Amino acid sequence: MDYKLLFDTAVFAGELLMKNGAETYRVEDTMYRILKKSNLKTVQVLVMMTGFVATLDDPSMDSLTVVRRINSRGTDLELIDKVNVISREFCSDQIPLEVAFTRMKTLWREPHESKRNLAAMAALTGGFAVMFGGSAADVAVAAATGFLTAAVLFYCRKIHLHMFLENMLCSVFLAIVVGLAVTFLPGEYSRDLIIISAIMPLVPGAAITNAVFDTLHGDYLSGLARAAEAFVIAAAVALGIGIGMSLI
Amino acid sequence: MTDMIIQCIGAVVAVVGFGIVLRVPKKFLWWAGLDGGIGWLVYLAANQALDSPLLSTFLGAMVISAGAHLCARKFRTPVTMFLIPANMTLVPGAGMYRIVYYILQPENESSMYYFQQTLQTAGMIALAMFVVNTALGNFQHRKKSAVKEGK
Repeated sequence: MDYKLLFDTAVFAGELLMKNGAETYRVEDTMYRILKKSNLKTVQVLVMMTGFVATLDDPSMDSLTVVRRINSRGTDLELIDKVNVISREFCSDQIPLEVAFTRMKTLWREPHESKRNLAAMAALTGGFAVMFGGSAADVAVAAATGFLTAAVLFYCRKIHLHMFLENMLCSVFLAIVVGLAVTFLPGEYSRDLIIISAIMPLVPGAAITNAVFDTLHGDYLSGLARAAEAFVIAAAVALGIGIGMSLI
Repeated sequence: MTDMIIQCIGAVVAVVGFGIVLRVPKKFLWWAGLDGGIGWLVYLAANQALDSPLLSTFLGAMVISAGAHLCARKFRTPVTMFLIPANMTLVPGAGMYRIVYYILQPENESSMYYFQQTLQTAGMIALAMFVVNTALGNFQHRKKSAVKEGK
């Protein structure tokens, strides 16, 4: 078996999973299973939220070790599902290593499109407004705000703004939009409800869920790191809402 | 009762929207939405019966977690695929807003109250996930170690 290729496949899988918001446990498990296919004596994988180390060793060869630092983190659950399928098929001998490697590499190069997100954001904030028991007018304003906030959010992502600033700017923007809409549009609105619905896309739900999972699996370092991430995002959103509301 | 059902439909739409934003694969989208909708229904019903938001959050989160685990087993995919979008229904976004709102008022006591409540709600969701995960995860763990040992 070509250990180098196996190693690259595992590293690709690990990096893809980490950058797209998989739990630490899943990254470790996936890399471990792929590397274990080598049947070598020592297989060690250590994953933390900000990077990973993997090593492969046997008396018959020099050891291989890779360190990767992960700087950017987003959430793309489709990629996680695809990596999961490839690694499962490879580990159960349904596909050879070369095919697994090529498919992993294709995933790596695949461009990430985010166009359909604008409408989805409007559905999301509108849906939350319905869920919290808003009137038809509230729902309409919430959906419109969601749509506009999404546009700002994607622009911020495009110019690679820092996560803190990105969340803060979006919250300032949405607080101002809601404030203006409630003041100048005719009719009765519940401002609290609309703002609460509109900030939902910015609320760090993915970070909270992953923090719990990591803690549960004993990855305490990553769990705490993710909890810290959730706090930072929450603080940014809160600060932004505060600024936006005091401006109006 | 009609209000409840309308709100649950809203929850389904919201979760599906979230799923699209987080790029959940299409075949799983409506399952995640259904999971979130049922979770919100349980939350609303429990809140009406027990009049305790924290306990209701716990029950709702348990149902969402259990549903997500069942879907994950059925489709052989990571649990987070369903759990991250569905959990958003219970995540305390409202609490976050109220904390800031009362700081601006300024009413520090109300702000502290909501700060505490937000943390408690997040804790309740975490506890529910712990309970369901350990209850359902145990026999999965045995299967996994069997794979690792090559038995």
